[in-house]
Amino acid sequence: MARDSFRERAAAATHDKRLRAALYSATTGIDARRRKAWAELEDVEALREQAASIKDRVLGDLDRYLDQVTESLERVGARVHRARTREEATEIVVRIAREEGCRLAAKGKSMTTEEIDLNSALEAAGVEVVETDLGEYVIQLAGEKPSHITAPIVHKDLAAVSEIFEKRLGVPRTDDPRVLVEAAREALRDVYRRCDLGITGANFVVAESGSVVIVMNEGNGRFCTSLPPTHVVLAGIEKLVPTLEDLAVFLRLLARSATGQRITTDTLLLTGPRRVGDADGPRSLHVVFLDAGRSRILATDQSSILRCIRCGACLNVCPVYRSIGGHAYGTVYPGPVGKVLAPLLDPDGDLGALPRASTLCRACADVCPVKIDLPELLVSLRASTARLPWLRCQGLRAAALALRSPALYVWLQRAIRGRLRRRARNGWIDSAPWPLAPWTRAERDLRAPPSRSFRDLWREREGGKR
Amino acid sequence: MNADERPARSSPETDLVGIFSRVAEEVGIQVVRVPVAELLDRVRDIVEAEGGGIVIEETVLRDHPELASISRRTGVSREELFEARLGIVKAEAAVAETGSVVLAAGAGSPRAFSIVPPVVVVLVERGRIHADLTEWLRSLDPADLAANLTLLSGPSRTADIEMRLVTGVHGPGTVHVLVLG
Repeated sequence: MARDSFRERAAAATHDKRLRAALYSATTGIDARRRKAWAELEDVEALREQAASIKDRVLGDLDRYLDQVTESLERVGARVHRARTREEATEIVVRIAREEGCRLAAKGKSMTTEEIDLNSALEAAGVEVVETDLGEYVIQLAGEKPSHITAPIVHKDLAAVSEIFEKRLGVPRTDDPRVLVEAAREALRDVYRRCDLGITGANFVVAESGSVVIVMNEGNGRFCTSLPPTHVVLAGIEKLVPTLEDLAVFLRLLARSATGQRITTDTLLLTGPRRVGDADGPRSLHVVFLDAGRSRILATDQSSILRCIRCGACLNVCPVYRSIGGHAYGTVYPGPVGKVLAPLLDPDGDLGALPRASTLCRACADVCPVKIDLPELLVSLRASTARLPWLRCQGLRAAALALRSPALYVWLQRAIRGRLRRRARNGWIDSAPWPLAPWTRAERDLRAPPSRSFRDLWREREGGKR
Repeated sequence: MNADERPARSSPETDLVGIFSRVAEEVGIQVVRVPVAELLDRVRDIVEAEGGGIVIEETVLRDHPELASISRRTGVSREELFEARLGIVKAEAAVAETGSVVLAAGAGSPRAFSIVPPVVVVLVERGRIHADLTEWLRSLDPADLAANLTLLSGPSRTADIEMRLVTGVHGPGTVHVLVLG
């Protein structure tokens, strides 16, 4: 990832016309489908409330649910691991790969594995890792990072993908996506034939049954979880749901919110490794539960961010995400959810600029299937990370005083209005005096204030009436 | 809706098959209702149209021995599996709300037969269609689940490149569901 600041990356992205065209058509398209799919539900509000309350129930009693899921998983023959940190998680997975003698891993799409940078750790340990989700496969070929939670190559147009396929796989340039998909299919089927390790995330883990639930559209995850002799699941501890019945609520919301489908093409409920007598399936199943800051977040005012089911709906409606794309954020999770989650997961990461890059328009809150009040969380994060210079603090204190005192307010307003009007040219001010100077420093003008204030007009009007 | 436009009343059970078929077709599954006596003929039609090597679940042959005339290949090597064109499997259940069939791994039901071949033919008894996800999930015993339950809701698909839909990415590009009875 580039080392320049968020501000610089965001500015560069807003000038990238090709990026913005790709982002605009994809995000508006996906959101239109989401709206249609939501409208089809009888009572989407009730369903969202239900999803939020189930998640809150789990988060409020996480230790107990973790114990329950561990017991359920062990009962069906899965091995359970707990990782307190990202480093611990990669160590656990690398150790499993070594112990089971794995050389080639087929990997399903998983943001949690991005979070711990699992691929580099495995490759350093001599295990080849191949991403099997088409978008992630392209990302891997290009040596990039995903720029969206559910649509990893949303920042690339067809021509860009074709260029990568030409360079890396020798596929002649084409404007037919089917040709590219076919090339990826052939390459990946060879991986499925040979792989000896499957790695996936989990969308949900059911506490009562120990079922790992994974959803996808391409079917790649079915290969990863069925053909190799070993399957490793990496799941954040917040992925738990209490019962199978609770799962219905989330399955109804997840695909609709992510892609506008009623359900994804494949929904897997994996309960333990293959049973005695089963014709095929992994001989060992490891489930690694990742904390890596989550239990710390649980103790903050922003704990509701852990309800997130990673549908990506908030990205698609966010005016900031739509303008700058995912890479500008410089974090694993982009968009509104990323602006909250990334600084919380990584408190020493100098990510204080992210919660400020929002207009608080509430579009994200309106589409969140688990009703996370993202704008409120952004505001509370701003407050908790605000480190203003002394002078500005005093300035804000003085402003607060003026706003509380009508007489002082009127006097100040008159004084400022006069000063500003003297600087105006054609009704606009292109360089405002201190302390308003920063407002006009960029390519931004300030509209000149009118000659009379609203208060003046009001007084006249009321006076005329009497 | 005007009173005279209202659809004719039918039994709830029939509706379930109807809803399942409609929703499944919307997601790209080819659905036909087949009387058990005609199963062999219908499977033969599909097999002839699709061509290529066939693998078939032991559980399917157990329920429908007449299908042995189509294929007896219930156990194959990984290499042979990747050469197969068509897999014939049985669904444990179906969900009308989402147009899904439920595939359960087990002794005579390898996971791979519905994953690897580019065409999959799924048999499901009409009495096993559930109205919605909640009803299906309620029917499961959390202490006694197959190690792999797959809700299959259409052919493998991707829209990763410019949101343009392409089917048959990794798994089956064609899914036939035969509703029996």
